[in-house]
Amino acid sequence: MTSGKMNKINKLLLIIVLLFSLPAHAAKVDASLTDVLNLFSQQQKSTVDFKEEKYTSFLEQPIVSIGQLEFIAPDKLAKYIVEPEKISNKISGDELKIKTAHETHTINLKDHPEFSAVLTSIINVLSGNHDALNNDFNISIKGPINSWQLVLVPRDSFVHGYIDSIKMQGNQNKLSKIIVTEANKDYSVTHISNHR
Amino acid sequence: MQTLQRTTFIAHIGWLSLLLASLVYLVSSLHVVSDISQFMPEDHENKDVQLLLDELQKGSTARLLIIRLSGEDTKQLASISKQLKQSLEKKKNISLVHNGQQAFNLQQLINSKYKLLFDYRYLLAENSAFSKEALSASLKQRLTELRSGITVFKNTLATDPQNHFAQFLYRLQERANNTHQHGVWFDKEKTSALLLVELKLENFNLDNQQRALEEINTEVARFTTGKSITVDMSGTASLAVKTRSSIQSTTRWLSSIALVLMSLLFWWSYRSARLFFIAMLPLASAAIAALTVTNILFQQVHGIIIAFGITLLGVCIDYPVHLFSHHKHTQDPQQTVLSIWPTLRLGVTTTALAYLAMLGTGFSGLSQLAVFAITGLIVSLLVTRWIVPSWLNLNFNKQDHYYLTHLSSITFSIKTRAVAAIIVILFSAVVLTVNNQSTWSEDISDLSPVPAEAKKLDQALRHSIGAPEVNHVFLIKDHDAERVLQRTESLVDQLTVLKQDKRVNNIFSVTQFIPSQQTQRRNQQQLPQREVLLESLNNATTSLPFKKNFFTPFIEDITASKELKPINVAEFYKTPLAKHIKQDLFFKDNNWVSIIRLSGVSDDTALINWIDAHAELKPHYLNLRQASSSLMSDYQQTALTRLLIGSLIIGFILLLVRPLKRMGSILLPVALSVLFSISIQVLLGTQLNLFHILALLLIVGIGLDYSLFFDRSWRSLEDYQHRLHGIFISASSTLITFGILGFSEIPVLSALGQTVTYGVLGCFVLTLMFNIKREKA
Repeated sequence: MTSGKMNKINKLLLIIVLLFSLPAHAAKVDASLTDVLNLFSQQQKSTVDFKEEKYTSFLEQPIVSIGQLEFIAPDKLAKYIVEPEKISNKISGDELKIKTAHETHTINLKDHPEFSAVLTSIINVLSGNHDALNNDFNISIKGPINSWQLVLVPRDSFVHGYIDSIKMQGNQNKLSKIIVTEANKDYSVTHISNHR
Repeated sequence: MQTLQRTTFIAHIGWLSLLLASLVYLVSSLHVVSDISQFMPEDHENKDVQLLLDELQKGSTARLLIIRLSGEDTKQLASISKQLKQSLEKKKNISLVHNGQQAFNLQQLINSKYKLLFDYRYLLAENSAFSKEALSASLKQRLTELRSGITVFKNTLATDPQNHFAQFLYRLQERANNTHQHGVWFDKEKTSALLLVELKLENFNLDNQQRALEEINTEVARFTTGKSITVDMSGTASLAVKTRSSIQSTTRWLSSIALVLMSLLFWWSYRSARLFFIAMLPLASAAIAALTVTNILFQQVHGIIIAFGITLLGVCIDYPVHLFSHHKHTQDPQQTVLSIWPTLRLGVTTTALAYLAMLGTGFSGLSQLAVFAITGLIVSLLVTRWIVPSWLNLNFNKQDHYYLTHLSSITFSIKTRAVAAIIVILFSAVVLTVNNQSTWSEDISDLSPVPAEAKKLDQALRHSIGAPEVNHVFLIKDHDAERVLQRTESLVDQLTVLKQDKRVNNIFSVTQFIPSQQTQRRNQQQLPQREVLLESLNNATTSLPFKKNFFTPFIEDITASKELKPINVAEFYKTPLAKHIKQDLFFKDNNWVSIIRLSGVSDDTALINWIDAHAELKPHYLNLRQASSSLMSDYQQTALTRLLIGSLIIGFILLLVRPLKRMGSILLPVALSVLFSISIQVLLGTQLNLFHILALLLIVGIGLDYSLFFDRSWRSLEDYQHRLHGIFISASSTLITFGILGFSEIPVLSALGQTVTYGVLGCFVLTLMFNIKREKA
């Protein structure tokens, strides 16, 4: 009987220890996608600076572009390149408008997912749209909430024929880096800073 | 009596065997055509007009269908437009669906069917941008595109850094509607989505067209049921099918109503339904025989002629009616028919001879009509004479109606007649003078049996999708395709000034896509030598980040292009672009025909004046509206002249067999009725066309019969009342059928219906007034 009593106490202690240690333990584990997206979904509007480097097989040096990204929940995203030339890409709903000094293109996102996969994925992360993101990509996430890394691989084989993967890094609801790797191994790295 | 039975027997054998033979022949060989161009003259001086009309009716333009979706919010419409495109393109009867979605995936294209065109890209368009500066500008533009995220050209960058091929393909987009919403075509108001469907039918007959349309309708319904979306569809095939079903349904309700009313009329007049069916025998025989003879002589029967055939009813049914009404129950029907035979024979002979005047005009439609009418009249007369009497019971009896006693007692003084005649003449003179300008229709589409509503919808849809204009067209034809292309190019060159001056929006020609071989060689000569290109390219790329030798494929392609043998039309027609340009260049009657179209003409008159001032352009210029309206007035003029000749023939024959005084009382009421009927139409605001003229001929035929019967002398008042009875029932039956026809939604039929209704009404009243009532002493 003694040993039985002992067992009970041990069990109780164990449960208490476990209960108390749980929050401390959670702080160290990897953030879940839901946690990250929940944080993002609380934000209605955000503006950041970016510096994008595009590495292409046929270019000696990367194409570097500097500018701002603006997001307004739930589905408006504008990417303004200011240097070295002015270009704007604006998504509103289903429509992508690309404006350069010489021309304007209006593209329907549903018709050209290969164009829009990257921008749409950013919108869906920033708006915390779990379903839409999950619809388009196989998602994996690792790292703690203040230093997470998201890897998105297109589910659609057509899109996958253009885009191999999209990697995003961030701290809580702040994106810090986006790496897009194309199917032909060309890639771009976008550094994000000055969240406001 | 025995001889009579033998004659009747032989007549029946002959009648039945001819009917049977005709039916067998019709089932196997009847060829009905329904397009207006076949109703046109064969040897009209301007063959080009006919060619163009024909191409519009049966060529690639005719295979286009326009679908308009409206009602829901634009997003929903756009999404349905895309779904429709996707599902319709899987159907075997449909070759392409255009809805403004970008059709070209450059990368896929170049590797597949477009390979040949891609290889020829430097021959198919002008080459001017090979200087160091131009190359540098192109390459910077490509870098901007890369920066902005436009990656479509990335894979062709090494072979086509100037986007030469993409620019060539973009010319296609200029041709179509350019209003986009949510990635698909919308009308200018951005409220309705538009789709253009190209049918792919091996045999472009009506049944196949109908099947394809039904298939499309099912698909459309699949995406739109349960939503408040209005779907409108139009195009040549759709109009043809709509017209056919409209004619069918009109014929159906017309014949059911007519059947009921006529049975009632016969019951009221003769207390016999059986007589009604006997009265149908001459009519049915006439229709079958007329179809057979027309088809044998012309190898085809125009649909309009068949529609007109329905109206033969008006005359044919009168013959047995006269027979029934003249019958006394004490008399053998054979004797009755003999007693009215001279009058019937005279009526038919004169009318048939009047129709004879319609032959030999060069207008095949008129000839067909003449043959159809003459055969029908003669056959129905013969059947009335030899077949009908033996079907009659001896003891049928017509009802003696009070109106007959009343009508037969009326006599009109010379003075009253003169006043009536003057009133009609004055009325017509005033109406026709006041509406002098707008009396005759000049729009060829007024002759078309297409329901007015459908025509209006078609115009609206064509306008909103920016369908090619057919009013200002230049046509070039030659046995040799290369010569046609060269002449097209030089013509387009001359016309370019119109575009520069903004007098036209755009000039469409096939040479935008396939230049002549001469021009291809010139384009080829514009290409730089390998060494020159290499140097310009090296200079252009010094300050740009492209890797060394990246553009070697481009240099190779330019070098290869310099050695290419120019592409010819036959080869070009094997490429996927062919289907886009088949309406601009086609092979017909041993000639290649190229059509240059103008769009957005700002001032029609100014343009026509400009062309008049350019003698070398004029022979190629076709203004379809103008040409067809002059064709129409020719047609109407001819028909009108022949109508007058026909009337003169009638007058001449009557002059031979009747004294002058009686001739006046026979012809005057008929002439007045024709005048009255036409004036009523003009007063109602209807523009007169060919069918009104043909209807007048019908009135003349019908009125003449009344006049001739009134002209017969009579032995007793009963005799006169029989005659009046016959004429009254004839007129009533004609008024019933044509009155109903007047309500038809098919313009041709309603024109016939209304004209004949007023005409016959006039004929009945006026012949009654003018009859001299000759009592035999």
